[in-house]
Amino acid sequence: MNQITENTTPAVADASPASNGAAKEWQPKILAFCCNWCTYAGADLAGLNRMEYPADIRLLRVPCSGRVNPQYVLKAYQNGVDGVLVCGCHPGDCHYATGNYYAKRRMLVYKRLLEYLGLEPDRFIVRWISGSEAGKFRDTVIEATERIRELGPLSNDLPHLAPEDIPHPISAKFEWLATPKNAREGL
Amino acid sequence: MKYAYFPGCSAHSTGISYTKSYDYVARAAGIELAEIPDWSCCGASAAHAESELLGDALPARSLALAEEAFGDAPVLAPCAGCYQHLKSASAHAQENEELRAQLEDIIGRPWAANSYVANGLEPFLPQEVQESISARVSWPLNGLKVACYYGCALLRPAEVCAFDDDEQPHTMEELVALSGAQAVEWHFKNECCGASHQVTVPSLGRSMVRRIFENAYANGADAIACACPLCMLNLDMREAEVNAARVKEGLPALDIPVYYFTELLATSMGANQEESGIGQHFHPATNPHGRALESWQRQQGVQKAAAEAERAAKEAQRKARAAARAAKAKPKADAEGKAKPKANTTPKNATPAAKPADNTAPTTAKGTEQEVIA
Amino acid sequence: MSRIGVFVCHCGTNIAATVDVQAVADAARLMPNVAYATTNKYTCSDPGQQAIADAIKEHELDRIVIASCSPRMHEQTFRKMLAEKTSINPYLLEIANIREQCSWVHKDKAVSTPKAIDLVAMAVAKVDTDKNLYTSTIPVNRKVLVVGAGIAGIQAAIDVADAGFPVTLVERNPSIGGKMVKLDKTFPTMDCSACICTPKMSEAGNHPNITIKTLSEVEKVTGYIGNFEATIRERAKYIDYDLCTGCGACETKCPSKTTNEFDEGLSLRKAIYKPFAQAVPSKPTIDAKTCRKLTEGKCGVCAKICPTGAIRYDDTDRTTTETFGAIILATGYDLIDWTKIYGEYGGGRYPDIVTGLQFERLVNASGPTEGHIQRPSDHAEPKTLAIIKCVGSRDPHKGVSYCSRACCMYSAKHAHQYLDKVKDGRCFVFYMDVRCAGKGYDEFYMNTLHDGAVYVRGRVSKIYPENGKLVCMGEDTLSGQVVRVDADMVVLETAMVPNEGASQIAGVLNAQRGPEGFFTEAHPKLRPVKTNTAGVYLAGVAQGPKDIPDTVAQAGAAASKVIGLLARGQIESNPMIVQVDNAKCSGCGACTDICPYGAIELTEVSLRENSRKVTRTVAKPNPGLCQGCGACTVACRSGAADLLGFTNEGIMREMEALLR
Repeated sequence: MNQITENTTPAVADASPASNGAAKEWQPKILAFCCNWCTYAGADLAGLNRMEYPADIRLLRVPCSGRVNPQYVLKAYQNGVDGVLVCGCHPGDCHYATGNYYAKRRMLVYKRLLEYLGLEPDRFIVRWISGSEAGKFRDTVIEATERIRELGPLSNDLPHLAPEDIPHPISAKFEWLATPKNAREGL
Repeated sequence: MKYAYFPGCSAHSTGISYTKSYDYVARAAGIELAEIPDWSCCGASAAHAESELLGDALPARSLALAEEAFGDAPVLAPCAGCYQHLKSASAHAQENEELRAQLEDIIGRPWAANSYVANGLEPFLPQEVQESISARVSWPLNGLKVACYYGCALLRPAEVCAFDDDEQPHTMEELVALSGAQAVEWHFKNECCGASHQVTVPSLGRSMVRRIFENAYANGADAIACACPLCMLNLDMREAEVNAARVKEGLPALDIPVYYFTELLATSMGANQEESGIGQHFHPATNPHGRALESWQRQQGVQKAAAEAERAAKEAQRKARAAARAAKAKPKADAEGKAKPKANTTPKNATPAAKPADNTAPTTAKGTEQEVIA
Repeated sequence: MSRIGVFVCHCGTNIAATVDVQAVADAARLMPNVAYATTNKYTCSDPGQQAIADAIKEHELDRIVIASCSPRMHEQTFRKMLAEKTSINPYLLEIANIREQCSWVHKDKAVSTPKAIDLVAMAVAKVDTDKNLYTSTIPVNRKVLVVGAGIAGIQAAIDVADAGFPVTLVERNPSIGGKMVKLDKTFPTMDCSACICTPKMSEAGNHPNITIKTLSEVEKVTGYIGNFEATIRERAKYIDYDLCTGCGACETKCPSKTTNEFDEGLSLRKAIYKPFAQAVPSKPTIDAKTCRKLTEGKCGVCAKICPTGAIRYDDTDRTTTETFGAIILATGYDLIDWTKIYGEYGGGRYPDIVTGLQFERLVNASGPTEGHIQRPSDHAEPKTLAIIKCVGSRDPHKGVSYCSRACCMYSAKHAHQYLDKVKDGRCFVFYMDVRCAGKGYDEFYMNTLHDGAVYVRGRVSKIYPENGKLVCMGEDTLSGQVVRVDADMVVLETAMVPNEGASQIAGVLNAQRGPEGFFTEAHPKLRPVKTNTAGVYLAGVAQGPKDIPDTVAQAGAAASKVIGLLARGQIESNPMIVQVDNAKCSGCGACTDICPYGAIELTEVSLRENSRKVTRTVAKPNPGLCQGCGACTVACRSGAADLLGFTNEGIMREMEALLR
């Protein structure tokens, strides 16, 4: 993170954690399921207002928080995500009238199941963020990132997993891109 | 039915006649009163103002003792103040498990707070109890018009007490009717009697007592019935002051004795003064039957006079109509010489017009007047 | 093997300044099935769009990913481009949001570039699973059903009918007109209510495009936007309206009487009756509960007197089924039954406590007292009037928690009317707050104050009769003193609650209602007259308490939405809806319960399984009703239900792409 050299080519610099070889710093991987009508719009508004937040989060757009199948959350953990957010409209404001109520009930039960499985409950966050609450979106992302950073990688919760079993972000696959452009050309 | 009986501090002092008459009626109705051993003050009036926790802990002790002695038997507190505090403490503990545990800790004994807390009226409300009382009424108080006064503590807080409508209650009326007396509709059933003000702001307290008496009087009551020793004491003791004030203003003094509803029931069941306690009032109240008879006679007189007046009015109306008819018929007869058919048709028209007036008695006043408009 | 094209947008410097777009394109080129990847300065511009179209042709791309701004911004633009300029299905497009959710929120290229690559990878994975989707057009039946014929329903019906579309106006009562026709005057202009309402009623009655069905209720509605099939029950009127001339001879001779609903119980009417003089239709009906012929079998006076022989004692209810393109709900309100909740006001024991609507009848020249204000008990003119506002409103302990909105103004109107008619009268208004937001409203309230109305800020705790007066005990919270008003008559301005018929029609239509029972609009700000059920619109108090100007405005708005729908004649359906795989569906019905639109029903289908023909129950989504929320896909235990455009596979692949 600290190796950006301003004079190099519009540097991707050392973006990927792996680029430094073994001395890579662990970065949390957080996936957020966001409903199209409220939270996704809130995230867009945060962008419009140029609010800064940690870049460890990836948004996955769904029509409604009620569309989020608990299986997806499990799949995310299987894929090595360190934390999952499910965000939708505030109760009563759902674009589809009741979707967020279903989501709320499902996710509350699901959270307890994850806890039972041995995952820290703090790795799974459910929030209602409206299209106007850009600030709340930013705060939620910051809070989630901090929480996950404190908890460390998912493998902390699942000690039987070998570290190499935990997948890396896809961008890691393209770590060679981080090398300066001229060096890349030979590839 | 067995009740864990919480007498309260007034039972053997200011409320002695309540206790006597209550015992009498309860025995007759087959209600067993088992006094809670070592019961203590309910904390009414003062404790909850000082500390809410103390206000709950004092009743909790007695309720826990009742539970210990009689299990889940309902707790009976004939005094409205005791009832309010016992009921509230019980409700608070039922709502809040933490508080219940804390109270258990304070009183130093287990308390499940399961027992139902009943007020003085409730034991007599079941149909079969009312029937057994009715069967025992041997000397009914027919004709006595009674204003049933609930006071403030019996009905409030509404969501806790909830045994009757808090604004338009009717249960005491049902019980008083068993004695043969007639409950009147009046408007201060649930107003405060001002007992707590009598010492601190006497002028305010007196005015509160006065308006209760005056409203009862305005609605034709011969007596007031209540179910609270403090209301009773306050009303009965201050009636003389109310009257003194009225006389000063040139108004007639009132003669409205205040009874416990159980006194009326006991008296109608043939209890003597000693048994019913009616000899121990401030305002003379020893002769409810005499009052009943007097009132009955007065009502008869009023009814008779009303019937007489109605008859006279009708007669006058009929005469006026006849005169009008005659006056109408005459000039026409003179002019056209067709007096006969006209005279035949008019009475026909008159009959339906008179009909609404005949209907006055069964329908409400409102209904008939609208009909007239329509 | 699909051939995916990835187009990374610079967005001027909006993206390029903080994301290395070239690196993103280079990375994309190495992603599975990506055949082509490039960058563009402004992808959304015409040349940018043309560049995509050209690249598609040149590289034989069959689906594309655009890494640019939010899909909420330009998804429709690019879909349109695909549809118009290329042969690719417009739904084979995914957008990676690398502006709002990347370049604008992260300042460090070192973190935003990998994030952008991740986002593109997710989009690439998803687009690979996308299937061709096609919008279909649903024909719209050009007839409109309006439920409720108060001023809201009448106005909406006239507006739609004027645009040339046939309207069926259904009303439960014997006449249209609703509550407005009962009123005396309307604030703040003091127009005679009947004078402005009855012309509208007769306009509706005479309109060639409006069919009025009185004494009718909508019993059943099936179908969806454009194609609702409604079953309407028309209750027996016992009169042949084709023969009846409305002469009124029957009404004068009828011997049975009952309380007059139109006068709010302040007068009596006959068993055969026309509710009021200007009723539309202007013909009587028989009240079967009161009629002697129908209850006891004896009488028959009306049949004897009727000059055209229009009386039909053997009349029965009729049900008809019609198809409508849209439905407008204008079910209106009732006043809360204060007698059940206000024991301290006597709970209905004292005749001289009247409601606001009863006062309207008392002050109305066509009312039971011919406009002379008289109290019901003895017909004396009240010299002291107490008006109590917010009876049931803003009082969650006794009534409802909301404000009924119109009462502040009509109580000022009542005070003004009273002081105008009773010159030596005194009027006290007990209020919580005075809320007079509206054109000319506050001025009206000020005028009422100048008229001499005494406003007392506080509630009345008790009313009881004494010496022929009603004693109102209250509190003036501004001076902190107890107030006693010995009134001759008391007017309670009671809360508006949803009409008792609203729950019935809500059940029939599966329309949503809020906790207080008013219909829920699709969006409180931006879609105030639509409901969540497509094709069902709201007008008037059915949606929430409001006064006449707002009601009429909303009725017009609902009508314009309906006209817009009908004028198109057809609607394009959203193709991103749920699809059920019959082979997997077990017919458990979990999805039918969870669907907020009632869009899924169970049907029997014949399937070929193991070379045998079997009949099974499966879930069948209705493309007209489904809005594509996907709640059912999660409820589906066998995974038979899937949401097109956001398929299970697509979302799973997205997650896999993010981390592998």
